Amino acid sequence: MLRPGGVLWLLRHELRLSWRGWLSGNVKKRGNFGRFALYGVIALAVLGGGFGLAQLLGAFEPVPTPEVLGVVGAVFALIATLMLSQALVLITDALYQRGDMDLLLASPLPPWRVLLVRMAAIALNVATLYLIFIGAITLWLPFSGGWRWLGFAPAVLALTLLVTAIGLVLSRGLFALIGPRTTRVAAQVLGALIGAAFFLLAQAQNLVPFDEREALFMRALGVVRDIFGNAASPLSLPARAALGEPLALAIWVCVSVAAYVLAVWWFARRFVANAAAIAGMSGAKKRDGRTKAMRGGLIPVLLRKEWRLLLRDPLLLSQILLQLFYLVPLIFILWNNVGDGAFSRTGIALYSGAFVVLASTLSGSLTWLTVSAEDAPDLITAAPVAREKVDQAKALAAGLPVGALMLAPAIAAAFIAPMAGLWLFIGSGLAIMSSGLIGIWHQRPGSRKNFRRRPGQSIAANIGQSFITFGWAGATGLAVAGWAIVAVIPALISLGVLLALHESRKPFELAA
Amino acid sequence: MPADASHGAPALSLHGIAKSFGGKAAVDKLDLDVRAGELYALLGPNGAGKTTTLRMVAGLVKPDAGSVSVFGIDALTDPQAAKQVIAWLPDEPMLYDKLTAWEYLEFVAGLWRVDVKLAQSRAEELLRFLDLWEQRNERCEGFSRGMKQKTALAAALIHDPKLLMLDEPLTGLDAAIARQVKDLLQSRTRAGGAIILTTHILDVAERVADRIGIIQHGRLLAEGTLAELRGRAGGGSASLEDVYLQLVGAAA
Repeated sequence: MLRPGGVLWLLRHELRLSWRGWLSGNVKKRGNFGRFALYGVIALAVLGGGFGLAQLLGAFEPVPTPEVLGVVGAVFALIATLMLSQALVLITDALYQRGDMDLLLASPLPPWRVLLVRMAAIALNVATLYLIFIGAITLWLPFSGGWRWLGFAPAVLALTLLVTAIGLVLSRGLFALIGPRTTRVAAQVLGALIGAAFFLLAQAQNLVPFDEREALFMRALGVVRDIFGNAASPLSLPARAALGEPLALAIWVCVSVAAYVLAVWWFARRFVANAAAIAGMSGAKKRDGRTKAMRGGLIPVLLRKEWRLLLRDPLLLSQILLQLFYLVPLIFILWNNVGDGAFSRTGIALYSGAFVVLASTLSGSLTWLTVSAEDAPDLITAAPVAREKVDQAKALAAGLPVGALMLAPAIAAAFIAPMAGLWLFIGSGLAIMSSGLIGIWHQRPGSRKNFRRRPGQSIAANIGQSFITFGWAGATGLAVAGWAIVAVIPALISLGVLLALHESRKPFELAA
Repeated sequence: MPADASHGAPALSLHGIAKSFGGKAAVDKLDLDVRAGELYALLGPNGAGKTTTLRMVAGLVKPDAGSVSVFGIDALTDPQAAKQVIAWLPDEPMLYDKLTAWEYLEFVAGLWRVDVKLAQSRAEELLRFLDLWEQRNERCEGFSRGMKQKTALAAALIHDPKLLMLDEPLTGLDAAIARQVKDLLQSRTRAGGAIILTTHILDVAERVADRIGIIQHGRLLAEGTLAELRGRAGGGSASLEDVYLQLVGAAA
């Protein structure tokens, strides 16, 4: 039995909150055995992957050459950046969003203890994912002969403490400068960008022509070797620690623990001395310039409202625009493998198809936000306007920006082949319209805050949406390639599926 | 202020209105009339069916049975016409965090198709009255609970509704603004508008309501002026709280 109010008791409270927060986001209802079975399979896969990697590492001696130090150092730098964005979000949540700091600080517990435990829980939260993966490898290392790689796990754990310390100091400065809310958004956007950068890095070999790949790799290796590869430089310390150099590991762990303790002590002193002032920062008010003259009309006010909500949510906007980012490798793959860098008809046809897929995906996401993720559905229902009209205006608000975005590739294609531009314009327009209509017919109510975890459509609607998207993409590609007659077939399939989705729609009904 | 609401005409008529959720009756064949120029307070314990009743009138919930008439308009067959003269203010304000108070009023005015110039002058008048003018260009996300409530109230009034339905309207308002709101509500009823409000603050109902209805288990237990309710509860000079507790306790 843990003593109430003690460090371990508080830590258990923090970890329980984290665990339940994770469960509420990932497990739909209690006793969901199917889901837990899935997690079991994932755990087995992670352990299996860990076993494979441990066997691989067992075959290599971790010799700290400048190249190896450079690569390991770069991996640590990337992990640290990801950890930092996560730590900033968690610190903001733990201190300002969860809303229980007043309760805890009003209790007779010493404030430093509350903060110490909360920060420890943040460090644990940040470390969990990495420790699971690294743990799955470390578990097998003694049996695979790779025991010299055992320094990796403590080195990463120490990195977590150091990153939490940096996050605390940085967050204190950012809170004062831009307020906790903006700090949180900035950290989330940073995390998303780093994630996308990881993806692009993984796809790097597809981004450059085949004959330039080796040179690029050597250049990148040279850069990381210059930064992290010098064993005399403190920047090589985490890599040397991870590679099992005992003294380096001891220094690295000591430095990280000292930095963590100092940062928590410094932060706790400031927080406790001026808790009210810091808490007051959460309400940083945003002024939007001078009063604008009102403009009327149902469609214009709906369009303006939807666009304002989208533009004023940088996190949401970044998540949507990242979908563009993920298409970059696809375009390069097409360029390298099919177009061969030249403006061939087939190349343009494939680009056009890819852009139609992009238009459909983007407008599908935006339509979900405008139609299904309405923040004040009761207000809209209570208004004296036809629901269909509102939904159409909202789908229009989603489709217009995507249509405008698609103008650029359509114009670019028109410069190469005028008809190609026209077909791309028509194809993306039809894809946008289809996504909008499906978004209206098969609404999936949810909160825009949960954009990434938005409820899915029915399986039929999902398959239908994919058929329609690829149907329009295929039709556009074929038309651009000069086979307009053949393009009629996928176009008709798209229309047929759209009609079927129209028939299977659920009409809007008031609460039953 | 409401222009053509004729004094004494029925502003809201509910006849045999019923609604069940999962087989449990939330509102059970309720009959209720609110006259134009009247402030009607609907009281009842938690879960009595007050909010469901108001949501059915606002067109947010479809009744299982019964009829709803708003100033002679059948709200079930012609909901759009009925909604045009209704305003509904729930206890949780329906706001958009990323819009400013001014933009929110512009949006609501657009939904109710209020003339732009009129909307602008009304928005200014309401925001000044509710002491929100200085904050008109701030986003609602930074507002306190009371400021959100006032912004929602301003939006509810922007189309000059003939029937105003308020669910716990004074929650979160400071004493001075609460007083102003009460004065505002009374001035609207004097001009011929009708107001139906639910509240748990019985003092408010006692002071501002022309008539009071007490509802429990989806049925109307008692209805009338405070004096009439006192009469039903045994007379004397009992407060509304005493009368309410006696009637609700007896029916439980």
